[in-house]
Amino acid sequence: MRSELQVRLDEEALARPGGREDAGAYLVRLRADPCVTGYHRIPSRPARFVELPDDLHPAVVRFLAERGVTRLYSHQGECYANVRAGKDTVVLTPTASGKTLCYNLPVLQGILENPDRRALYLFPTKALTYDQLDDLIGWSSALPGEIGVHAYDGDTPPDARPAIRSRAHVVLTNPDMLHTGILPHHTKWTRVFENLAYIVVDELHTYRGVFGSHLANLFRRLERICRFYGSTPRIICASATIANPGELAEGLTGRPFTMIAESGAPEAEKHLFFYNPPVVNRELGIRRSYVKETRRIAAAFLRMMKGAIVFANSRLVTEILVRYLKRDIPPPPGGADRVVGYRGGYLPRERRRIEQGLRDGAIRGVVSTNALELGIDIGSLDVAVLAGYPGTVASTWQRIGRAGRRAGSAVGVMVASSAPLDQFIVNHPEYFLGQSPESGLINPENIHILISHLQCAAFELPVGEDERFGGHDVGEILEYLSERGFLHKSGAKWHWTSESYPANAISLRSIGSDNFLVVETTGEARVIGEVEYSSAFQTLHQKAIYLQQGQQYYVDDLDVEERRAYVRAVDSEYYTDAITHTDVRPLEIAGRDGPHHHGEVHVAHQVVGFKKIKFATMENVGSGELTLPTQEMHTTAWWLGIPRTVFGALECSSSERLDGVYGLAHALGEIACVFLMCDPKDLGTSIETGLDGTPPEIPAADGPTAQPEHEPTIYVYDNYPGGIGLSRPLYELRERLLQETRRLIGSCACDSGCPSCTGPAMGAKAPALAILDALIDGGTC
Amino acid sequence: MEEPAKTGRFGKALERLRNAEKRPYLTIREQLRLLDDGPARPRAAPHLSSMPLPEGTEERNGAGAHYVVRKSYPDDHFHGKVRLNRSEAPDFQRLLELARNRRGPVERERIAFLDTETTGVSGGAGMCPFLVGIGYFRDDAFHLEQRFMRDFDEEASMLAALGESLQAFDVLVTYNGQTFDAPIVENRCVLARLDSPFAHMAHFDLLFMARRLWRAGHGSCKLTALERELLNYVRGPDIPGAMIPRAYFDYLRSSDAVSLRSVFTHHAADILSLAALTIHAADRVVDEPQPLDDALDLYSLGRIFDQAREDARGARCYEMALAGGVPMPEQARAMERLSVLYRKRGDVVRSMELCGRLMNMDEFSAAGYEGAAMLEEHHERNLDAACAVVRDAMRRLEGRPGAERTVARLNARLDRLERKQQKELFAAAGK
Repeated sequence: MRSELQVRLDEEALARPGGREDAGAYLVRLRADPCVTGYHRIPSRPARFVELPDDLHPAVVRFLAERGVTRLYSHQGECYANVRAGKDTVVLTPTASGKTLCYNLPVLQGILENPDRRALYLFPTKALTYDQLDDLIGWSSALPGEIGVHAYDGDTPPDARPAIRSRAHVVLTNPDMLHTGILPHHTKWTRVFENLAYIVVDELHTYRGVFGSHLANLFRRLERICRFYGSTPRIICASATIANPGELAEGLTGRPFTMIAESGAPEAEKHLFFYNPPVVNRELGIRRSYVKETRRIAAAFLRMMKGAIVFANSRLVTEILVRYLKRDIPPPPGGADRVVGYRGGYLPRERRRIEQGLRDGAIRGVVSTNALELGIDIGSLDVAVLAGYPGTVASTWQRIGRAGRRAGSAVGVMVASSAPLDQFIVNHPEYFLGQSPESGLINPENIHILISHLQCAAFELPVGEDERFGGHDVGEILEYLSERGFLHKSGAKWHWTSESYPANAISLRSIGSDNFLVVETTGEARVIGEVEYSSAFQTLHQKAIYLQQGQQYYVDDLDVEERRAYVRAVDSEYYTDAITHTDVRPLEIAGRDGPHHHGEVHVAHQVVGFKKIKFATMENVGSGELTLPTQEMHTTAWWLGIPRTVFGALECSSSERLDGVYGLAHALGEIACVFLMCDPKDLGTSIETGLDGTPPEIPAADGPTAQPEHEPTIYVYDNYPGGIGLSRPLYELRERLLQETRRLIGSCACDSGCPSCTGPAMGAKAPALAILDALIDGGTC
Repeated sequence: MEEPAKTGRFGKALERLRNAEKRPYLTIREQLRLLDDGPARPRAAPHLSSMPLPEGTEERNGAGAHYVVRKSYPDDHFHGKVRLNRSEAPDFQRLLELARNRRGPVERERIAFLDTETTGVSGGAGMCPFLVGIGYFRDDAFHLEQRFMRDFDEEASMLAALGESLQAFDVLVTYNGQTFDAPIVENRCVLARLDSPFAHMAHFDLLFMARRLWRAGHGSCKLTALERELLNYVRGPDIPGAMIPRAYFDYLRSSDAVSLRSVFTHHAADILSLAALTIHAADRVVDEPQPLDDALDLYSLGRIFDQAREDARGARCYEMALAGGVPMPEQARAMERLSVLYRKRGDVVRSMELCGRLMNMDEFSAAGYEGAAMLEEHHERNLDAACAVVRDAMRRLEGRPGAERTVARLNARLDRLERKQQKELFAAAGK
């Protein structure tokens, strides 16, 4: 298989003048490394230009000329023409293709023609907002007519808000602020809504899954408010490469879109490597740590004076890599760090400083979570190293795209972890390369999400009895809400009758207003970061080692009520890893087929303890117990009860049988992610051993009470209250799931189970396979 | 090492999955049936002996109908210890001037006292004022007009009528209306496509003045607290504010006004207390302060005159507050302001004495030191002494957290003083 992929390395391409020989030689060596399972070269592509539109305001033309722009890329010109013709447009824009101009040009031109016009820009993160704000301020200072450009978000001081509401032509904000701060107060925004001519939705592809499902409903609310004030804004969306940008834009906004898929921007040549760390213990299937391999490869490039970005999939790995690379690439004497970390939890000021350092070259290497995956302008980097497969094809291309934004050639290296998904991808690079990027899937009809937003909608404006919401007749939901006291019908309208402010109770994603502040008490108390609620218990529990910018902090206390963690700087040889206990209880069965079920479940998470793990050796050097509040939710799940007959017939000890169940659950969870192409954190797995206590009585939708006997059950649940529709497809695909899981475990090179198939449980391979065989051959699926 | 078929299988599975995903997971109805969040709240059962609304009339206008309850209180009506009708226009005018709210003559009959009862306190377009009332003086009586929406379809009529009524007034008096009542009414006017009923009026929010007058001495400035303490007004059984939205929602569902009647009573009491407290506040700023008044209240009054640049009256109040034994930290603040007022008046001795006392206090008073430095520099013309004062202050602040800005200010002063000292030395040497 590898031989098929042996594209001859174009060594000339790498051996460019200007001191790149070293890098070229390194790439040749890397290419020959037996750990490299795949190599792919993407040729460069020249730019395609069109002339500037004739009707552009002279000041715009002048400003563009000052920036050296005398022509547009073809997609920019197309987008301008579309918007000017009144079409809702979605532009597919690879990294660094000049997408900003796609929307700024028609919007600014429109405002110059009629200064009453207003525009609303939505960005998924504050960092992106401020990146674009800087750019727009540059425009507004060069254009006539005092075009007001303002960010409006949680950081906007309250006394600045009224002026922004009345004066801003372009309001830059995020969906969360639109949801809690703007729409519910639309009566203060009459100026904007009456004149709203453009809505810009940047980074469209991020609005998928839960977030996207919320967004679709948010757009329904926005649309209602615009209708009330008599405006019909044009919508311009910009998306990174996904399979279905047009469909996603239509699903989000309920409008037909014109799509521009062909980018006219030039693209640099790219060399893409798939790297699998070598096996160091065949018996246990243990590979060399992908984190250390990432460090080695990234450090090699950094030493060659290459600008490199390293992506990690978790904050913890990000921080560990920052520590390592800071040590490998020390700052010049008396100078500032040349390698820094970048992630969501850093305070805005710190993030700005890093972005600036990357742009002007003072910072050479950056280790990032997905925070830098989005289109923040960080200038030109040569190399992207991915510590672990990001989980989706689209995200992988986005991350690789951060290297080589302008010209020359660029390198991308994907270093696989031992997780089954990573192993699958690294062993089948052709699968990855042949795969179109994922679709952005949303389910705006999730009843929890829909009900939430109908409450907000009724708060904002009474709902007419014949009014449709996103094309749906929602009369039954309104009745439902009325029965619970939230609404009251008067005349032909439903009115909000609750003292509460509904938007406050609804977070569009896990990061919301409910963050924990990290307070350092080493010297004078100061806030050094924020951590979202859902992960605070894992990273900020008492006695945890909290890492930020490679600095370690010991958590003295976590004040759950006040949402604060008190930490002090320490120098520790270990880090901590929280142990979470998850309990799943079925509530109602919606479908059942032999041992397979799907339906509603109750999930309770509790962080019950932590392990201390030594940095250098990764060995477990201690542990502790914790008592923290339980986080609970209702969601949907697919679950598999291992029949007593199957479980009891396994020819091994009972503890080995259980290991087999754990191993099977691990592999099933991973394969489920590949099937759904969802982010691994969108799915949860849990095991009910059936050994402790009586199994719960489950009210079945049909037939007798389920699970009359004690039997171990594997749950794979939708990790979001109410579910976003991930568990039913798993139930539908149950047969295929078991078969692919058997294939994964069966074909793994290890002897008795390893992290790449059955996970940490030792000796799980044989019993897991035996269970699968019994289930598949026994015709129970 | 794997079967090449794998990609194909995955591809197909994925395809099926994507197609499955395009269909809604379950229909809205199916999902609704699955929702497990407890039974619906039973509709409020009609009370056995259902109570009607308080006596009133239905009023109609272009926007429909709503319900109005009117009352009037004769010339000799007392609200607590305040006889409402004794109030006089010039007193109101004085109060408004001190609040820097309005200059020029005020007619008593053109003042409207407004209060609303709402479906919540969170703010936002979904909060609705269901009962809006105004009180006003006419023909030696105080009149009350409570406009009520019996259901949401009467809201527009109610708001439009409020706008009509307010045409006859040009000063609006509220309690916390600047941040609460006015925006809520205006929000709902936007929804009903009506103009703001307050656009032509000057708005005097008594809460701000009440805080300035009484917070130091009385703590809570809630209307109910002040009416009890200052007006000696005692309400009968009263509905707690937090219960009011619930009372209205219950009425909407059952048409039984049993708990809503107490909302009308509560609302009327609020408007009367607002008027009476306004009169009391006007008395407070018009009447000559008395040495035996509460020392903290005297201090507060001093601040008000001081901020209105009425130096002499301000100084008198501060002196009386000090004589009356005003406690810390107001004592220090009174001394600081007095030292400034005396310095402005040229009474160097009195000012210096106050600065001296301030500098001797345990609590650090930057104003005391800075005042002393200024007096030494400009009045005594003693630069050495001025420098010494500033150095003293800086010594006391050394290593104290949070004092950075004060230290920076003192530093700048010291720099300037030392430069001036040198200049004078050179000048003297030159001579």
